[in-house]
Amino acid sequence: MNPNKTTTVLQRTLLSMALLLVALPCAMTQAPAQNRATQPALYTKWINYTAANGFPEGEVYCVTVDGSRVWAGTSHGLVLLEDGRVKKIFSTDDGLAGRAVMSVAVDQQNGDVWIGTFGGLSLYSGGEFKNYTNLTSGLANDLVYGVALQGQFLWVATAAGVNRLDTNTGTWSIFNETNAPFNEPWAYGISVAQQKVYFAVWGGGVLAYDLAKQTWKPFTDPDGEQELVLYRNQGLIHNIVSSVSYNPDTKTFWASTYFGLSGYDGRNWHNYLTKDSGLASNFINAVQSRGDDVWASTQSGLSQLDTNTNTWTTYSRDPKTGRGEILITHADGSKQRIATETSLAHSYILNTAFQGDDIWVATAQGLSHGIHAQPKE
Amino acid sequence: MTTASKRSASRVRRRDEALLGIALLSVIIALIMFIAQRPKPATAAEHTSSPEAAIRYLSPVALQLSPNGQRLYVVCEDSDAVLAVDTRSQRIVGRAEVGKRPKGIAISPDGNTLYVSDEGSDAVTEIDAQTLTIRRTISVGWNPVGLVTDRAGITLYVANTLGDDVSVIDLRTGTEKKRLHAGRFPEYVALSRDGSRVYVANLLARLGPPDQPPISELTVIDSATQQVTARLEVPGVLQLRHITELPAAAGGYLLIPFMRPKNLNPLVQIQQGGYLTHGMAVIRPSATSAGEARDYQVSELLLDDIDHYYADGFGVASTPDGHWALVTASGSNIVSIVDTSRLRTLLLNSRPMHRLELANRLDSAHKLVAARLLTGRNPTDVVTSADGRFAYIANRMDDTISVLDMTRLQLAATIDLGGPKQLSRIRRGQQLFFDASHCYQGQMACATCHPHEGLSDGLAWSLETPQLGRDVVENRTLYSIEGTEPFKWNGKNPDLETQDGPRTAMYIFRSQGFSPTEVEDLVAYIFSLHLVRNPHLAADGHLTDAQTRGQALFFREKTNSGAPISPLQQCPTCHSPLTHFTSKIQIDVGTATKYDTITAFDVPQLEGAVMKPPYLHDGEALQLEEIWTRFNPDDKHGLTSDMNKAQLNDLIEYLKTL
Amino acid sequence: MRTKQCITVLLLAAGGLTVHRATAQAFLPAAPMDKTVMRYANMPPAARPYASFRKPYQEWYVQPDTLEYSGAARSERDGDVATLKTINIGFLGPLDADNEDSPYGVSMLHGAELAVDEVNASGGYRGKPFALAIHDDQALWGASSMAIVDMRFKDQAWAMLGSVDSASTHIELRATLKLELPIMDTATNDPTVTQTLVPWLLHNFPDDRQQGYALADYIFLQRHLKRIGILQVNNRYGRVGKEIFAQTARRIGHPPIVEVWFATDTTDFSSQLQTIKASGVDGLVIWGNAAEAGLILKQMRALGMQQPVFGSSRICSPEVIKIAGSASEGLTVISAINPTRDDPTWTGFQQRFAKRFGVEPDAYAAYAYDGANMLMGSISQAGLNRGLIMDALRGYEMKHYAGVSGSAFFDYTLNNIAPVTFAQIRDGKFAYWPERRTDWKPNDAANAR
Repeated sequence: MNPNKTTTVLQRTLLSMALLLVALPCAMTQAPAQNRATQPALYTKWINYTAANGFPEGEVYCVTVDGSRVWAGTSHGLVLLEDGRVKKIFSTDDGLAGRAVMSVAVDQQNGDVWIGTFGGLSLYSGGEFKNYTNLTSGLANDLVYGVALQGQFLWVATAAGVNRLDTNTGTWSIFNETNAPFNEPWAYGISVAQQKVYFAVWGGGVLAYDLAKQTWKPFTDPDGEQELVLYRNQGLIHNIVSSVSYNPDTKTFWASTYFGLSGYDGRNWHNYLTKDSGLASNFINAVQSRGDDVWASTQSGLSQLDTNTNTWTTYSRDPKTGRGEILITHADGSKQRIATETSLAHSYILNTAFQGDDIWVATAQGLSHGIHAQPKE
Repeated sequence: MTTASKRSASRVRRRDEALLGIALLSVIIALIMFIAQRPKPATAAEHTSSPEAAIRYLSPVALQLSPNGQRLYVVCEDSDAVLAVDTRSQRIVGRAEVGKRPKGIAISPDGNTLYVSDEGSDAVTEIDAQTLTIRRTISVGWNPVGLVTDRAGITLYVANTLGDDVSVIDLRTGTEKKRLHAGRFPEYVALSRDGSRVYVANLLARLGPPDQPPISELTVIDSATQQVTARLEVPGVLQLRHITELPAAAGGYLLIPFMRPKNLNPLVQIQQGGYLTHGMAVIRPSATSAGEARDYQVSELLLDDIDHYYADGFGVASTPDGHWALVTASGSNIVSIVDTSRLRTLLLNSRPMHRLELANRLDSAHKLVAARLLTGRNPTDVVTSADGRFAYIANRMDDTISVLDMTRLQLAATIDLGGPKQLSRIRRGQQLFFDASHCYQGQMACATCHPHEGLSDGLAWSLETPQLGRDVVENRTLYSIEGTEPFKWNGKNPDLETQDGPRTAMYIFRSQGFSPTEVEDLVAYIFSLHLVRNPHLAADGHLTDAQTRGQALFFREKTNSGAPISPLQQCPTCHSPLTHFTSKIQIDVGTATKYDTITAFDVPQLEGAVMKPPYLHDGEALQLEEIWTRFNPDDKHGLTSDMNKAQLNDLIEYLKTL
Repeated sequence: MRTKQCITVLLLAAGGLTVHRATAQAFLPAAPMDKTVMRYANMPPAARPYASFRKPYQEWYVQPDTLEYSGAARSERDGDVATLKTINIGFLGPLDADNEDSPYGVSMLHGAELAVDEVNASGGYRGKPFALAIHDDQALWGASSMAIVDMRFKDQAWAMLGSVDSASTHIELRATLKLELPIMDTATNDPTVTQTLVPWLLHNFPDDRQQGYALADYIFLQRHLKRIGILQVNNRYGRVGKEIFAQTARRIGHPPIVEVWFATDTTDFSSQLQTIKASGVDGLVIWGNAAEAGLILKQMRALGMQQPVFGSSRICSPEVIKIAGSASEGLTVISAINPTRDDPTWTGFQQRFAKRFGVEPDAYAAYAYDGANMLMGSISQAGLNRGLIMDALRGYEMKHYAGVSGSAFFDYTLNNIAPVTFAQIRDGKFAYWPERRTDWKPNDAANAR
């Protein structure tokens, strides 16, 4: 057999495959009708925890799932739910560092619960609280917004920079405008990836810290102007970033801002505003991404983006009837409304967490548990 | 420069100029010397200051019997070795050289493997129990002591004293799987009889306000989840040591020796008795391994007699039937043998309020203690044979093992482990250090308040005046104090001979005290004490970036804005690196309270002293940060008000290396 | 070799898949551009970013729903006035004498106290007096960041006043998004505090954006200078403050020739002035404090530098004349107020303030007085409900407020964008212009001049 001929055949085959690979997604996106036929899995049943059933009044700032347990940070302390029931509400009298609880991270290894409060950082371990404050430890500031664990390291986002605590040695490090490219020191959220840690910095964009190289990479609004977005997908949509979520499945980080949603897959930016998508509001308190989905906790509802189908689903509550509304915005811009008997506790959403396929949602007026329903054709 | 620092600086400028000159000179000399001698890693625990230090005593400190009872393994901390003793011939049949300063031992459930904690190496040595050959070394946390395997023998729990945590080791891979927060200075661990829990006893009490009684912690780990499920408060006591669990038939109690001080009362009360008492926590465990602290019942019993004390409880064991519990009084060379049936009756018949009172009653022991047997010097660990016939006690200070006949409750034999017979000055001093017989009614030894050979017990003591609540001062470490005289917070003792001789006799022990020769020995021993290893400092003495920045801050002469700092507000002026980071004088750094008679306090040395809180003369600063964030409002304790938080963190990172 | 190339092509194609997926989401028909209702914050047309390049995809701050609030604060139970001894308002400002900003903080406190006393004298809130829960903006170890938490939870404050320092104000702002405590800021110059979309703050002090635009207009379009140097204090006030001016200068075609900074507490400016002198500027803008500006003027005139000097509002203080003497002649600065006004609103306040505190009120006192009155008025209107109090403050959107400091006008971000006042030293005194008109409208070119 002529080796050159073999090469040509192989070459042609590979080229065909390559073309096919390029063509396939084109064909997919050119068939919006097919996309429309698929309705995403919806949360149609909601169980709410509010002042009416023994939950603290007011805002729920954060929610974290820990197996069958759920931790909720509220303006009246830290709530522990077990198997769907409120087991305990921890207050400062119990030893919690601050009343307003902004973030909770559970160390799956040793069971320790790290709690970020407006009053310092708390460690709940073995039934006891141990507190770290600006005056009694290396904590940069007592306004703690985010906590995240990465092996023996605890990362803490504070109003005066990011802290890293080596829980084995007790060594505190501070990263701020003096030793890292922080435009502003006000850190809001943290997302831990395998080799990197991402920080949401209020006024400073997203910062990525490379653990191996110990280097920082800033992602900021390329037009450099607070008052405008020059191009739609030019880069991070705005520098006032409220949270960041790295999705290992898609290798994309998503950043929520009060000026829209941004995602970066390492090559391209994917930005969304209410005017060009099904996003409920540009004012987004938090973002979470897993699988193909991105969940935006906005001030006007919980918006889910299915990046596969470019379908948006927004959950909100009718304040008059208390019934729920699901608004689906399909890729072609068409909209579909579904009414549900139960709904989120409030449409102002602050945070989300998943428990298997179920979702827990922190709202301005209670905690909501969304029961997963199977997708319909 | 901020206005605050300006104001402070100008106030300082008004001080005596001559003093400034001297201070400046000392800073210059200090800096030159310091540059010449960069911080070196603290060396191991060997007592190094005398030629006699070459003599290596054994100092048996931990025991482990083989499952068949034929071998007794003895950990010898001063010779870095484990000995195997044939229990029938009572002869040494094997020896393994392990890491530095071994402290604890555990055996695999099948009896084939020994695990020895090497406190000075931050490691566990795994040894073949038959051949005593070393299999491997496993890295753990800082200064490990107690250790135990789970029932399956695949997980090892190691208490890291200096790290305040527990390393959980996967024995299949020989790697640390996770680390659990313990209390303060966790020393000994025990596996529950049903294997569901690991108990961790913490030597030091929790950090708390210095004017409150101490609260100690027993940390409970669920061995299934390998997570801490409860932190039991043992109030009013400290120095929880070894742990034993009685069989269910004997009540299933956990017994843990402790020391119960009345440190907030004036020390003159020692002559009334009952100032320092010694006993054990008796804890009825929760029914489930996941039980919370409230599911446990904690009682406290004293093992002292009204007119004589059994100081420094250390080891504890029970016979297999649980009838006898043995508690060594390491400062009194006694083992107390407790009849647990009487103990159980006492507890069961006590109403809750009465049960709480037991913690202070000196009339319990005569009801409970069946025998007090004399041991060798400084009895530490105790184990009992599987057949219940014998108990073995490690006598640290004379390198022997006491063998007790448990059927007759008497000493059956003493095994000489073959340590050097010549007693060096340091060894003699060490023996005195652990010996409570010099104190009125035997209430305390030096080691009572300086446990773990020189550590501060972390308590504030009312030492100075007979007035309740006045002039309370924090205990201080004995590490690296040679050349740091004078002593005491008020600087009244010009040398250690004065402190340990007449002053101790008159004000602390309320007794004849030590003879002049004994004082010399004791001083030699104390001057030989150093921190075993400073984990914050790299082995080669190289400083991290943060430590280097902190070092520059320690030696800085200018504020952040470039303004000169008065020498009296520069760290090395008072904490001179020439003399273990103390200027050896008393200085008012603005920390006195209205309950203090004096305002200027002795500048403490920093070497080995910053490792364990609390800080300042009255122990008010529970963390290093608080020295400056809370107790230095006028920049009298160094000019720090211009520093930002990151700089303060760096300064602290450097101080930890000293 | 060719096989390798094919594989490369395949890999590239696979890469293309990612690219395609990424761009596939942008297939939605381009949304129509938002109609710009007004230029943001009186921005001079020539200073609009990318003005000659393209219309931005999105413009913020210029829509009526800019500070939309949809949280649950309004449905919180109202405070029970019967059970309260006082109606608390938090106050955060630099008060400790050690703090270099304390003169501003003390003035601000006095202004607020006078307002509170006057309202209380006429009945307070339903018979209960207003009270200030005072917190010192003490930067040491970040202590002041907890002030707003304490106001909300310990003081049970219904709203707060503060602060001067822009970092502290930003920290409060971040915190109040969670704590939902209305903030009336009467003292910070930082133009970014009203750019966050956090709907819990109203700001009435003329910020550095307004000052920068006005100075650029005056220097380049009215004085027709071209080569300007900038000398700024190296702190957040100086860094952030001068930026809008510098940016505007660049955009309108007169980029600063030289930008130099000096450390706080500097007394010898010779090295900075030599640099500026060597650059051949025809005017100098100082962004700093009055004492520093006085020394700079004195030293630059001594060096023979006769260029006109301009400056930010903190320089508008008699201190600059006291220090520089005749060297200050001709200095033109922004003034947050016109203290030479003779309308009874101002003169009455001036007299009452002087009587109570023994000193003449400055801008910080005047804006705090106005802010405290706006706040107490909002509380009286809304009741003891933080959500409704903020709604009442939000009611000032696109409206004037005539106070002792002059006429304020609040844009969609609740920032006062009324034209600023200029002050020039003539014959050893500040002369002020123009008069602020209450019929002023945003984007009114005539008024902007």
